[in-house]
Amino acid sequence: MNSATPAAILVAEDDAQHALLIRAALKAAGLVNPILVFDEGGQALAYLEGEGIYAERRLYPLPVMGLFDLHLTDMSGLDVMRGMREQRGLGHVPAVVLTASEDPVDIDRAFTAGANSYLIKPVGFEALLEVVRNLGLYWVLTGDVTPEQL
Amino acid sequence: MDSYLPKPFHAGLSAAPSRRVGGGSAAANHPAPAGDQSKESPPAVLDPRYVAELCSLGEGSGIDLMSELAQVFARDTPVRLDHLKNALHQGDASLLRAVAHTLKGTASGVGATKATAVCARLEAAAGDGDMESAGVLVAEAEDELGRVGGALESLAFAPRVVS
Repeated sequence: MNSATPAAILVAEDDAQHALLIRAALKAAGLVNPILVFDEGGQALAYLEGEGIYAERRLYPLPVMGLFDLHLTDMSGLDVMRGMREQRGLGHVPAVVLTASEDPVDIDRAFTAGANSYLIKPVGFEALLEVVRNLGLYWVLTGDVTPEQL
Repeated sequence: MDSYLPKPFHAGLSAAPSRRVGGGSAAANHPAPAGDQSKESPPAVLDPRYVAELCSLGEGSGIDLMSELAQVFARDTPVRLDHLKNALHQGDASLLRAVAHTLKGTASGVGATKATAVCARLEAAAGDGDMESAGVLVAEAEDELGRVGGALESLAFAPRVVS
């Protein structure tokens, strides 16, 4: 792992319990990246767009992965995900949609909007790890496992 | 690669070898304080396997997960119960259904099997516009979620023994 600030993992989740479980699962998976949790979509978008204090990217690094609750208090997580994708250099950042819904309509909407993956909450460690592996991110995020070892 | 993981993952939370909580592996099944083991065990408020997995996840992540979950639950659940009761009193079935859905997720996230089921029934009743049944279920949800809070608090402050 190099000494530079590792890329961040952005989590847009307004349920504190679910955010806590996600943070624990990511940490338990060995991910060393900063985990930025936003409980409002507007805050997450401000971060992604580098507004105000977030302009200092050394302190507020751009995400290498985004996890988005489908139903945030102030907006849809899909809108935040789209906002991320519209940012320069973030068009291909993997996006995972989180929701308690198993409604096929919601799932279809998420994939249509460009989600790479879709997780039903509460999110467990194994499920999250599987997604990280499927997205080819494990070695990037942990810095100590090569793709061949996956 | 796109992927879709189609159901809640109550199993497979574990990230590290399990550890005993509250002086024994069965303690996770006890909502009563850890020292009170002479009485007959009450029905499980929290799924002991799920709690064990949460403890393992906490250990693997370096987060005092049970304590943090107990704090979040104690902070957020009373507010949501107030929303639930307000929705009932206002006859707002749509809001009642939405809050019940949120509480179902809250209960599920800590392995509160019965509370999850009660909230699911409430969500369904509200969805059907059956406010009479919903009224009964709101009271039941409040009682059960109260027990869940007590169980989480007991676990959060129980002595922990590393296996």
